[in-house]
Amino acid sequence: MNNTIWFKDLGFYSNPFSIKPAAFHDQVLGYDKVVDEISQGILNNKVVVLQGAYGNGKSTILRRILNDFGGKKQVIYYSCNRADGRLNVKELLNGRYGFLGKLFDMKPKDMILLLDEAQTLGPKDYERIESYCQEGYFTSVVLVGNQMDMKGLPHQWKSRLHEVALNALNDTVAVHIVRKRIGDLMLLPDDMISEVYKISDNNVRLLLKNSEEVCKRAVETGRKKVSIEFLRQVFPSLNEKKEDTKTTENVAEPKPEKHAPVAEKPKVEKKETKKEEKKVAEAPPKKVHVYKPEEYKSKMQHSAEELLNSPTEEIFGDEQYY
Amino acid sequence: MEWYEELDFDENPLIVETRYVGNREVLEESYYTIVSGNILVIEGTDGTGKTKILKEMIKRFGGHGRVAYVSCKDMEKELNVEDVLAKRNGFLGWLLKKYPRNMVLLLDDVEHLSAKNMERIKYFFDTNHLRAIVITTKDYQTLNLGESVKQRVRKTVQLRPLSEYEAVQVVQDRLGEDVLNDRVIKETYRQSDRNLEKFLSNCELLCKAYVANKNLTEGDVKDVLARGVK
Repeated sequence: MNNTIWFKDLGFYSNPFSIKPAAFHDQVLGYDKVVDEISQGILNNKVVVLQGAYGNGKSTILRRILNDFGGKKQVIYYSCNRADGRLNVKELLNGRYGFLGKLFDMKPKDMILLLDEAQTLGPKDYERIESYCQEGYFTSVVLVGNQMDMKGLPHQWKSRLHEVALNALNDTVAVHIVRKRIGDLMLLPDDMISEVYKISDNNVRLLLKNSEEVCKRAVETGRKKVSIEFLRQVFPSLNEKKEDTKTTENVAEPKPEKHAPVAEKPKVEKKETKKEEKKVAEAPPKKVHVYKPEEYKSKMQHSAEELLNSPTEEIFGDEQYY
Repeated sequence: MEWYEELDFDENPLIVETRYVGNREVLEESYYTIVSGNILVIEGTDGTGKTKILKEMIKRFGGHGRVAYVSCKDMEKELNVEDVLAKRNGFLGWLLKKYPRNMVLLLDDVEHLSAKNMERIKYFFDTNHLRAIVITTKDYQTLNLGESVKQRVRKTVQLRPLSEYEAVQVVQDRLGEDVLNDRVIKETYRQSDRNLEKFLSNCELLCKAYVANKNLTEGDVKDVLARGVK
Protein backbone atom coordinates (compact mmCIF):
# COMPACT_ATOMS: atom_id res chain seq x y z
CA MET A 1 0.00 0.00 0.00
CA ASN A 2 2.93 2.33 0.55
CA ASN A 3 3.53 2.17 -3.16
CA THR A 4 0.72 4.61 -3.76
CA ILE A 5 2.86 7.45 -2.47
CA TRP A 6 4.36 9.01 -5.55
CA PHE A 7 7.99 9.15 -4.45
CA LYS A 8 7.95 5.53 -3.32
CA ASP A 9 6.64 4.58 -6.72
CA LEU A 10 9.51 6.43 -8.34
CA GLY A 11 11.96 4.49 -6.19
CA PHE A 12 12.72 7.06 -3.49
CA TYR A 13 12.72 6.05 0.13
CA SER A 14 11.63 9.43 1.44
CA ASN A 15 10.29 12.66 0.05
CA PRO A 16 13.09 14.07 -2.17
CA PHE A 17 11.69 17.61 -1.94
CA SER A 18 11.91 17.92 1.82
CA ILE A 19 11.92 21.62 2.76
CA LYS A 20 13.80 21.14 5.98
CA PRO A 21 17.19 22.86 5.99
CA ALA A 22 18.60 19.85 7.79
CA ALA A 23 18.24 17.74 4.68
CA PHE A 24 21.04 17.85 2.12
CA HIS A 25 22.93 20.53 4.02
CA ASP A 26 26.41 19.16 3.40
CA GLN A 27 26.65 20.89 0.05
CA VAL A 28 25.30 24.34 -0.65
CA LEU A 29 24.76 25.00 -4.32
CA GLY A 30 25.21 28.48 -5.73
CA TYR A 31 26.33 30.16 -2.55
CA ASP A 32 30.02 29.20 -2.57
CA LYS A 33 31.08 32.85 -2.53
CA VAL A 34 28.86 33.65 0.44
CA VAL A 35 30.17 30.67 2.37
CA ASP A 36 33.76 31.73 1.62
CA GLU A 37 33.04 35.27 2.70
CA ILE A 38 31.59 34.17 6.00
CA SER A 39 34.42 31.72 6.66
CA GLN A 40 36.95 34.48 5.99
CA GLY A 41 35.04 36.76 8.34
CA ILE A 42 35.13 34.15 11.08
CA LEU A 43 38.86 33.59 10.65
CA ASN A 44 39.46 37.35 10.85
CA ASN A 45 37.52 37.66 14.13
CA LYS A 46 34.72 39.69 12.65
CA VAL A 47 31.04 40.09 13.40
CA VAL A 48 29.29 38.71 10.34
CA VAL A 49 25.68 39.63 9.64
CA LEU A 50 23.87 37.61 7.00
CA GLN A 51 20.48 38.86 5.85
CA GLY A 52 18.06 37.44 3.32
CA ALA A 53 14.42 36.76 2.62
CA TYR A 54 12.56 33.69 3.85
CA GLY A 55 13.35 30.41 2.21
CA ASN A 56 16.48 31.40 0.34
CA GLY A 57 18.85 29.20 2.29
CA LYS A 58 20.14 31.23 5.23
CA SER A 59 19.86 28.37 7.69
CA THR A 60 21.31 25.94 5.17
CA ILE A 61 24.39 28.12 4.75
CA LEU A 62 24.74 28.36 8.51
CA ARG A 63 24.60 24.60 8.80
CA ARG A 64 27.25 24.30 6.15
CA ILE A 65 29.50 26.61 8.15
CA LEU A 66 28.75 24.62 11.27
CA ASN A 67 29.91 21.56 9.34
CA ASP A 68 33.15 23.28 8.31
CA PHE A 69 34.13 24.62 11.71
CA GLY A 70 32.54 21.98 13.89
CA GLY A 71 34.30 18.98 15.37
CA LYS A 72 36.82 20.84 17.52
CA LYS A 73 34.26 21.98 20.06
CA GLN A 74 34.91 25.55 19.03
CA VAL A 75 31.47 26.46 17.75
CA ILE A 76 28.24 27.26 19.52
CA TYR A 77 25.17 27.08 17.31
CA TYR A 78 21.91 28.35 18.64
CA SER A 79 18.57 29.12 17.06
CA CYS A 80 17.10 32.11 18.86
CA ASN A 81 13.48 31.18 18.26
CA ARG A 82 13.97 28.32 20.70
CA ALA A 83 14.41 30.61 23.66
CA ASP A 84 11.55 31.27 25.99
CA GLY A 85 12.50 34.84 26.81
CA ARG A 86 15.95 36.34 26.62
CA LEU A 87 18.94 34.69 25.09
CA ASN A 88 21.00 33.19 27.91
CA VAL A 89 24.61 33.41 26.78
CA LYS A 90 26.05 32.10 30.02
CA GLU A 91 24.06 28.91 29.75
CA LEU A 92 25.26 28.44 26.20
CA LEU A 93 28.87 28.70 27.31
CA ASN A 94 28.36 26.37 30.26
CA GLY A 95 26.64 23.86 28.01
CA ARG A 96 29.98 23.16 26.33
CA TYR A 97 31.07 21.11 29.37
CA GLY A 98 27.73 19.43 29.89
CA PHE A 99 26.26 18.99 33.33
CA LEU A 100 29.54 19.67 35.15
CA GLY A 101 29.89 22.98 33.39
CA LYS A 102 26.63 24.11 34.87
CA LEU A 103 27.67 23.00 38.34
CA PHE A 104 31.08 24.66 38.44
CA ASP A 105 30.29 27.52 36.05
CA MET A 106 33.02 26.57 33.59
CA LYS A 107 33.27 28.67 30.45
CA PRO A 108 35.38 27.92 27.39
CA LYS A 109 37.35 30.67 25.66
CA ASP A 110 37.80 31.63 22.04
CA MET A 111 34.50 30.25 20.79
CA ILE A 112 32.64 31.02 17.59
CA LEU A 113 29.01 31.96 18.12
CA LEU A 114 26.50 31.18 15.35
CA LEU A 115 23.06 32.63 15.97
CA ASP A 116 20.16 31.67 13.72
CA GLU A 117 16.92 33.68 13.56
CA ALA A 118 18.68 36.64 15.11
CA GLN A 119 15.91 39.09 14.17
CA THR A 120 14.25 38.31 17.50
CA LEU A 121 17.21 39.68 19.46
CA GLY A 122 17.13 43.16 20.93
CA PRO A 123 19.87 45.73 21.74
CA LYS A 124 20.20 44.34 25.27
CA ASP A 125 21.02 40.87 23.97
CA TYR A 126 23.65 42.31 21.66
CA GLU A 127 25.24 44.19 24.51
CA ARG A 128 25.44 41.08 26.62
CA ILE A 129 27.11 39.18 23.78
CA GLU A 130 29.50 42.12 23.35
CA SER A 131 30.49 42.03 27.01
CA TYR A 132 31.31 38.33 26.72
CA CYS A 133 33.27 39.12 23.56
CA GLN A 134 35.42 41.61 25.45
CA GLU A 135 36.17 39.06 28.14
CA GLY A 136 37.51 36.83 25.41
CA TYR A 137 34.91 34.09 25.34
CA PHE A 138 33.92 34.72 21.74
CA THR A 139 36.33 35.47 18.96
CA SER A 140 33.72 36.01 16.29
CA VAL A 141 29.96 36.14 16.01
CA VAL A 142 27.74 35.23 13.05
CA LEU A 143 24.21 36.62 13.09
CA VAL A 144 21.69 35.28 10.62
CA GLY A 145 18.20 36.70 10.30
CA ASN A 146 15.44 37.85 8.09
CA GLN A 147 15.42 41.58 8.76
CA MET A 148 17.65 42.78 11.53
CA ASP A 149 17.69 46.29 12.91
CA MET A 150 21.28 47.31 12.37
CA LYS A 151 20.94 50.37 14.60
CA GLY A 152 20.60 48.17 17.66
CA LEU A 153 24.08 46.71 17.26
CA PRO A 154 26.59 48.01 19.82
CA HIS A 155 29.01 50.69 18.60
CA GLN A 156 32.04 48.54 19.45
CA TRP A 157 31.09 46.21 16.63
CA LYS A 158 31.09 48.90 13.95
CA SER A 159 34.77 48.51 13.15
CA ARG A 160 34.59 44.71 12.81
CA LEU A 161 31.17 44.47 11.20
CA HIS A 162 30.97 42.49 7.98
CA GLU A 163 27.65 42.46 6.18
CA VAL A 164 26.74 39.78 3.69
CA ALA A 165 23.62 39.92 1.56
CA LEU A 166 21.91 36.96 -0.06
CA ASN A 167 20.85 37.34 -3.65
CA ALA A 168 18.34 35.18 -5.43
CA LEU A 169 19.82 32.23 -7.29
CA ASN A 170 19.73 32.06 -11.06
CA ASP A 171 17.91 29.47 -13.15
CA THR A 172 20.76 27.04 -13.74
CA VAL A 173 21.53 26.74 -10.03
CA ALA A 174 17.85 26.12 -9.33
CA VAL A 175 17.88 23.32 -11.87
CA HIS A 176 20.99 21.93 -10.18
CA ILE A 177 19.29 21.97 -6.79
CA VAL A 178 16.33 19.99 -8.05
CA ARG A 179 18.53 17.63 -10.07
CA LYS A 180 20.61 16.92 -7.00
CA ARG A 181 17.52 15.69 -5.26
CA ILE A 182 15.82 13.67 -7.95
CA GLY A 183 18.74 12.60 -10.11
CA ASP A 184 18.26 12.56 -13.87
CA LEU A 185 14.64 11.62 -13.65
CA MET A 186 12.95 12.32 -16.97
CA LEU A 187 9.60 13.11 -15.35
CA LEU A 188 10.65 16.70 -14.76
CA PRO A 189 12.76 18.11 -17.62
CA ASP A 190 15.23 20.95 -17.05
CA ASP A 191 13.25 23.63 -18.84
CA MET A 192 10.20 22.79 -16.76
CA ILE A 193 12.21 23.19 -13.56
CA SER A 194 13.23 26.70 -14.53
CA GLU A 195 9.60 27.37 -15.39
CA VAL A 196 8.57 26.25 -11.91
CA TYR A 197 11.32 28.43 -10.46
CA LYS A 198 9.79 31.43 -12.22
CA ILE A 199 6.39 30.68 -10.71
CA SER A 200 7.95 30.42 -7.27
CA ASP A 201 9.16 34.06 -7.34
CA ASN A 202 12.78 32.86 -7.42
CA ASN A 203 12.42 31.43 -3.94
CA VAL A 204 14.13 28.12 -3.33
CA ARG A 205 11.77 26.77 -0.71
CA LEU A 206 8.75 27.59 -2.84
CA LEU A 207 10.51 25.93 -5.75
CA LEU A 208 10.88 22.72 -3.78
CA LYS A 209 7.29 22.89 -2.59
CA ASN A 210 5.95 23.55 -6.06
CA SER A 211 8.02 20.88 -7.75
CA GLU A 212 6.80 18.40 -5.15
CA GLU A 213 3.25 19.34 -6.07
CA VAL A 214 4.01 19.02 -9.79
CA CYS A 215 5.63 15.61 -9.43
CA LYS A 216 2.87 14.35 -7.18
CA ARG A 217 0.15 15.40 -9.58
CA ALA A 218 2.08 14.08 -12.57
CA VAL A 219 2.58 10.64 -11.08
CA GLU A 220 -0.98 10.41 -9.85
CA THR A 221 -2.41 11.24 -13.25
CA GLY A 222 -0.02 8.79 -14.86
CA ARG A 223 2.17 11.10 -16.92
CA LYS A 224 5.60 10.22 -18.17
CA LYS A 225 6.74 13.76 -18.64
CA VAL A 226 5.68 17.16 -17.41
CA SER A 227 4.75 19.62 -20.15
CA ILE A 228 3.94 23.33 -20.03
CA GLU A 229 0.28 22.57 -20.38
CA PHE A 230 0.39 20.39 -17.32
CA LEU A 231 2.11 23.13 -15.36
CA ARG A 232 -0.74 25.42 -16.31
CA GLN A 233 -3.21 22.95 -14.95
CA VAL A 234 -1.39 22.73 -11.66
CA PHE A 235 -0.80 26.47 -11.29
CA PRO A 236 -3.70 28.51 -12.65
CA SER A 237 -1.79 31.72 -11.90
CA LEU A 238 0.76 30.86 -14.61
CA ASN A 239 -2.09 30.68 -17.08
CA GLU A 240 -3.17 34.24 -16.42
CA LYS A 241 0.30 35.68 -16.83
CA LYS A 242 0.91 33.88 -20.10
CA GLU A 243 -2.45 34.94 -21.43
CA ASP A 244 -1.66 38.55 -20.71
CA THR A 245 1.55 38.49 -22.69
CA LYS A 246 -0.08 36.66 -25.52
CA THR A 247 -3.02 39.01 -25.81
CA THR A 248 -0.62 41.91 -26.13
CA GLU A 249 1.36 40.11 -28.82
CA ASN A 250 -1.42 38.78 -30.99
CA VAL A 251 -4.36 41.11 -30.68
CA ALA A 252 -5.96 39.76 -33.84
CA GLU A 253 -6.53 36.32 -32.42
CA PRO A 254 -9.99 35.95 -30.92
CA LYS A 255 -9.27 33.09 -28.51
CA PRO A 256 -5.66 33.06 -27.44
CA GLU A 257 -6.25 30.55 -24.66
CA LYS A 258 -7.16 27.67 -26.86
CA HIS A 259 -4.79 28.35 -29.72
CA ALA A 260 -1.63 29.05 -27.86
CA PRO A 261 -1.07 25.70 -26.13
CA VAL A 262 -1.82 23.73 -29.30
CA ALA A 263 0.75 25.72 -31.20
CA GLU A 264 3.33 25.36 -28.48
CA LYS A 265 2.98 21.73 -27.61
CA PRO A 266 4.83 20.08 -30.53
CA LYS A 267 7.80 22.46 -30.08
CA VAL A 268 8.23 21.50 -26.48
CA GLU A 269 7.98 17.84 -27.25
CA LYS A 270 10.58 18.07 -29.96
CA LYS A 271 13.00 19.72 -27.59
CA GLU A 272 12.43 17.07 -25.00
CA THR A 273 12.97 14.20 -27.37
CA LYS A 274 16.17 15.75 -28.61
CA LYS A 275 17.45 16.12 -25.11
CA GLU A 276 16.47 12.62 -24.27
CA GLU A 277 18.40 11.25 -27.24
CA LYS A 278 21.43 13.26 -26.32
CA LYS A 279 21.38 12.09 -22.77
CA VAL A 280 20.96 8.49 -23.75
CA ALA A 281 23.84 8.85 -26.18
CA GLU A 282 26.13 10.51 -23.64
CA ALA A 283 25.59 8.31 -20.65
CA PRO A 284 23.28 5.44 -19.83
CA PRO A 285 20.87 6.24 -16.97
CA LYS A 286 22.29 5.33 -13.61
CA LYS A 287 19.03 4.60 -11.83
CA VAL A 288 16.49 2.20 -13.20
CA HIS A 289 13.09 3.48 -12.19
CA VAL A 290 10.29 1.02 -11.94
CA TYR A 291 7.73 3.66 -12.69
CA LYS A 292 4.86 2.55 -14.88
CA PRO A 293 1.96 4.99 -15.08
CA GLU A 294 -0.62 2.36 -16.04
CA GLU A 295 0.11 0.29 -12.98
CA TYR A 296 0.00 3.31 -10.77
CA LYS A 297 -3.48 4.23 -11.93
CA SER A 298 -4.87 0.87 -10.94
CA LYS A 299 -3.14 1.12 -7.60
CA MET A 300 -4.75 4.47 -6.94
CA GLN A 301 -8.18 2.91 -6.81
CA HIS A 302 -8.07 1.95 -3.19
CA SER A 303 -10.43 2.84 -0.41
CA ALA A 304 -9.73 5.07 2.54
CA GLU A 305 -9.98 2.15 4.93
CA GLU A 306 -7.22 0.24 3.18
CA LEU A 307 -5.10 3.33 3.41
CA LEU A 308 -5.70 3.52 7.13
CA ASN A 309 -5.03 -0.12 7.83
CA SER A 310 -1.69 -0.51 6.08
CA PRO A 311 1.42 -1.05 8.24
CA THR A 312 3.35 2.00 9.42
CA GLU A 313 6.75 0.79 10.44
CA GLU A 314 8.48 1.76 7.23
CA ILE A 315 7.87 5.43 7.85
CA PHE A 316 9.42 5.53 11.27
CA GLY A 317 12.06 2.96 10.44
CA ASP A 318 15.25 4.95 10.67
CA GLU A 319 16.46 8.47 10.86
CA GLN A 320 17.30 9.66 7.45
CA TYR A 321 19.20 12.88 7.71
CA TYR A 322 21.54 12.35 10.61
CA MET B 1 -34.17 1.27 31.54
CA GLU B 2 -32.14 3.31 29.09
CA TRP B 3 -33.42 3.90 25.60
CA TYR B 4 -30.73 1.86 23.90
CA GLU B 5 -31.41 -1.14 26.10
CA GLU B 6 -34.98 -1.13 24.88
CA LEU B 7 -33.66 -1.19 21.33
CA ASP B 8 -31.45 -4.22 22.16
CA PHE B 9 -28.11 -2.39 22.35
CA ASP B 10 -25.70 -3.12 25.17
CA GLU B 11 -24.28 0.39 25.19
CA ASN B 12 -25.14 3.72 23.66
CA PRO B 13 -24.49 3.15 19.93
CA LEU B 14 -24.21 6.86 19.17
CA ILE B 15 -20.95 7.30 21.08
CA VAL B 16 -19.25 4.28 19.52
CA GLU B 17 -16.38 4.97 17.13
CA THR B 18 -17.14 3.81 13.61
CA ARG B 19 -15.51 4.05 10.23
CA TYR B 20 -14.76 7.43 8.73
CA VAL B 21 -17.42 8.89 6.46
CA GLY B 22 -16.97 11.75 4.05
CA ASN B 23 -14.03 14.07 3.21
CA ARG B 24 -11.82 11.31 1.94
CA GLU B 25 -9.58 13.79 0.13
CA VAL B 26 -8.69 15.50 3.41
CA LEU B 27 -7.93 12.14 4.95
CA GLU B 28 -5.63 11.23 2.09
CA GLU B 29 -4.01 14.64 2.15
CA SER B 30 -3.16 14.36 5.83
CA TYR B 31 -1.90 10.84 5.29
CA TYR B 32 0.38 12.04 2.52
CA THR B 33 1.57 14.97 4.64
CA ILE B 34 2.70 12.68 7.42
CA VAL B 35 4.42 10.25 5.09
CA SER B 36 6.25 12.94 3.13
CA GLY B 37 7.08 15.14 6.12
CA ASN B 38 5.30 18.44 5.62
CA ILE B 39 2.98 20.87 7.36
CA LEU B 40 -0.74 20.73 6.65
CA VAL B 41 -3.45 23.11 7.80
CA ILE B 42 -6.99 21.76 8.04
CA GLU B 43 -9.60 24.47 8.09
CA GLY B 44 -13.22 23.87 9.03
CA THR B 45 -16.06 25.34 11.03
CA ASP B 46 -17.46 23.77 14.20
CA GLY B 47 -18.62 20.21 13.97
CA THR B 48 -17.21 19.35 10.55
CA GLY B 49 -14.94 16.68 11.98
CA LYS B 50 -11.54 18.32 12.34
CA THR B 51 -10.69 16.41 15.47
CA LYS B 52 -12.06 13.25 13.92
CA ILE B 53 -9.43 13.46 11.17
CA LEU B 54 -6.67 13.80 13.73
CA LYS B 55 -8.05 10.84 15.61
CA GLU B 56 -8.01 8.79 12.43
CA MET B 57 -4.36 9.74 12.01
CA ILE B 58 -3.63 8.59 15.57
CA LYS B 59 -5.30 5.31 14.74
CA ARG B 60 -3.24 5.00 11.61
CA PHE B 61 0.20 6.01 12.87
CA GLY B 62 -0.14 5.46 16.61
CA GLY B 63 1.34 2.60 18.55
CA HIS B 64 4.98 3.34 17.83
CA GLY B 65 5.32 6.18 20.29
CA ARG B 66 5.75 8.62 17.46
CA VAL B 67 2.55 10.64 17.46
CA ALA B 68 1.92 13.55 19.79
CA TYR B 69 -1.60 14.95 19.91
CA VAL B 70 -2.04 18.31 21.60
CA SER B 71 -5.34 20.08 21.99
CA CYS B 72 -4.53 23.74 22.45
CA LYS B 73 -8.03 24.61 23.58
CA ASP B 74 -7.87 23.33 27.14
CA MET B 75 -4.35 24.48 27.86
CA GLU B 76 -3.91 26.61 30.91
CA LYS B 77 -0.43 27.80 30.12
CA GLU B 78 1.36 28.24 26.84
CA LEU B 79 2.26 25.09 25.01
CA ASN B 80 5.85 24.02 25.52
CA VAL B 81 6.80 21.77 22.63
CA GLU B 82 10.16 21.03 24.17
CA ASP B 83 8.44 19.36 27.11
CA VAL B 84 6.05 17.46 24.87
CA LEU B 85 8.99 16.05 22.95
CA ALA B 86 11.27 15.44 25.91
CA LYS B 87 8.64 13.59 27.91
CA ARG B 88 8.43 10.98 25.20
CA ASN B 89 11.55 9.37 26.66
CA GLY B 90 10.12 9.37 30.17
CA PHE B 91 11.35 11.28 33.16
CA LEU B 92 15.02 10.67 32.44
CA GLY B 93 14.63 11.96 28.93
CA TRP B 94 13.02 15.10 30.25
CA LEU B 95 15.83 15.55 32.75
CA LEU B 96 18.63 15.08 30.24
CA LYS B 97 16.78 16.93 27.46
CA LYS B 98 16.85 13.99 25.08
CA TYR B 99 14.64 14.80 22.14
CA PRO B 100 13.29 12.03 19.94
CA ARG B 101 13.43 12.35 16.18
CA ASN B 102 10.85 11.81 13.49
CA MET B 103 7.84 12.63 15.63
CA VAL B 104 4.44 13.56 14.26
CA LEU B 105 2.70 16.51 15.91
CA LEU B 106 -1.07 16.90 15.68
CA LEU B 107 -2.21 20.31 16.88
CA ASP B 108 -5.90 20.81 17.49
CA ASP B 109 -7.46 24.30 17.58
CA VAL B 110 -4.25 26.13 16.90
CA GLU B 111 -5.79 29.61 17.14
CA HIS B 112 -5.15 29.52 20.88
CA LEU B 113 -1.40 29.44 20.27
CA SER B 114 0.82 32.49 19.97
CA ALA B 115 3.05 33.20 16.99
CA LYS B 116 6.11 32.94 19.20
CA ASN B 117 5.14 29.42 20.08
CA MET B 118 4.73 28.45 16.44
CA GLU B 119 8.26 29.75 15.84
CA ARG B 120 9.52 27.27 18.38
CA ILE B 121 7.59 24.47 16.76
CA LYS B 122 9.15 25.55 13.49
CA TYR B 123 12.61 25.11 14.97
CA PHE B 124 11.88 21.51 15.87
CA PHE B 125 10.38 20.92 12.46
CA ASP B 126 13.53 22.23 10.79
CA THR B 127 15.80 20.01 12.83
CA ASN B 128 13.66 16.98 11.96
CA HIS B 129 12.69 16.31 15.54
CA LEU B 130 9.22 16.80 14.19
CA ARG B 131 8.69 14.92 11.00
CA ALA B 132 5.30 16.33 10.11
CA ILE B 133 2.75 18.69 11.63
CA VAL B 134 -0.99 18.66 11.11
CA ILE B 135 -2.80 21.75 12.32
CA THR B 136 -6.53 22.33 12.61
CA THR B 137 -8.10 25.74 12.83
CA LYS B 138 -11.43 27.45 12.33
CA ASP B 139 -10.21 30.21 10.08
CA TYR B 140 -6.81 30.27 8.41
CA GLN B 141 -7.06 33.89 7.28
CA THR B 142 -7.15 35.34 10.78
CA LEU B 143 -4.66 32.84 12.15
CA ASN B 144 -1.47 34.39 13.48
CA LEU B 145 1.17 31.90 12.40
CA GLY B 146 4.06 34.14 11.51
CA GLU B 147 5.37 34.63 8.00
CA SER B 148 8.13 32.03 8.05
CA VAL B 149 5.82 29.32 9.32
CA LYS B 150 3.20 30.20 6.74
CA GLN B 151 5.76 29.70 4.02
CA ARG B 152 6.48 26.20 5.22
CA VAL B 153 2.83 25.15 5.07
CA ARG B 154 2.45 22.85 2.12
CA LYS B 155 -1.26 23.13 1.71
CA THR B 156 -4.41 24.28 3.43
CA VAL B 157 -7.42 22.06 2.94
CA GLN B 158 -10.97 22.93 3.81
CA LEU B 159 -13.33 20.52 5.44
CA ARG B 160 -16.80 20.74 4.02
CA PRO B 161 -19.74 19.72 6.19
CA LEU B 162 -21.09 16.25 5.45
CA SER B 163 -23.75 15.91 2.80
CA GLU B 164 -27.19 14.72 3.90
CA TYR B 165 -26.56 11.34 2.37
CA GLU B 166 -23.33 10.95 4.36
CA ALA B 167 -25.12 12.02 7.54
CA VAL B 168 -27.59 9.18 6.96
CA GLN B 169 -24.64 6.82 6.60
CA VAL B 170 -23.10 8.03 9.84
CA VAL B 171 -26.24 7.30 11.82
CA GLN B 172 -27.18 4.06 10.11
CA ASP B 173 -23.68 2.70 10.68
CA ARG B 174 -24.40 2.92 14.35
CA LEU B 175 -28.12 2.28 14.68
CA GLY B 176 -28.95 0.01 11.79
CA GLU B 177 -31.60 0.85 9.26
CA ASP B 178 -34.74 0.07 11.26
CA VAL B 179 -34.74 2.70 13.96
CA LEU B 180 -34.70 6.02 12.13
CA ASN B 181 -35.55 6.25 8.46
CA ASP B 182 -33.72 8.35 5.88
CA ARG B 183 -36.11 11.24 5.81
CA VAL B 184 -36.14 11.67 9.57
CA ILE B 185 -32.36 11.66 9.69
CA LYS B 186 -32.06 14.17 6.89
CA GLU B 187 -34.55 16.48 8.57
CA THR B 188 -32.64 16.19 11.84
CA TYR B 189 -29.39 17.02 10.09
CA ARG B 190 -30.93 20.14 8.62
CA GLN B 191 -32.27 21.14 12.01
CA SER B 192 -28.81 20.75 13.59
CA ASP B 193 -27.23 23.36 11.27
CA ARG B 194 -24.96 20.71 9.73
CA ASN B 195 -23.01 20.44 12.95
CA LEU B 196 -22.04 16.82 13.61
CA GLU B 197 -21.81 16.95 17.39
CA LYS B 198 -25.16 18.67 17.68
CA PHE B 199 -26.58 16.25 15.15
CA LEU B 200 -25.58 13.18 17.12
CA SER B 201 -27.01 14.52 20.36
CA ASN B 202 -30.21 15.37 18.51
CA CYS B 203 -30.33 11.84 17.16
CA GLU B 204 -30.23 10.59 20.71
CA LEU B 205 -33.29 12.69 21.50
CA LEU B 206 -35.05 11.24 18.49
CA CYS B 207 -34.22 7.70 19.53
CA LYS B 208 -35.75 8.35 22.91
CA ALA B 209 -38.86 9.63 21.17
CA TYR B 210 -38.81 6.55 18.94
CA VAL B 211 -38.96 4.27 21.96
CA ALA B 212 -42.16 5.99 23.05
CA ASN B 213 -43.67 6.35 19.60
CA LYS B 214 -42.64 3.84 16.94
CA ASN B 215 -44.16 5.77 14.05
CA LEU B 216 -41.89 8.79 13.87
CA THR B 217 -42.25 10.89 10.72
CA GLU B 218 -40.49 13.86 9.24
CA GLY B 219 -43.00 16.30 10.71
CA ASP B 220 -42.42 15.17 14.26
CA VAL B 221 -38.72 16.01 14.23
CA LYS B 222 -39.17 19.70 14.97
CA ASP B 223 -41.50 19.02 17.90
CA VAL B 224 -39.22 16.42 19.41
CA LEU B 225 -36.16 18.66 19.20
CA ALA B 226 -38.05 21.63 20.61
CA ARG B 227 -39.21 19.52 23.54
CA GLY B 228 -35.73 18.14 24.06
CA VAL B 229 -34.12 21.55 24.36
CA LYS B 230 -36.49 22.56 27.16
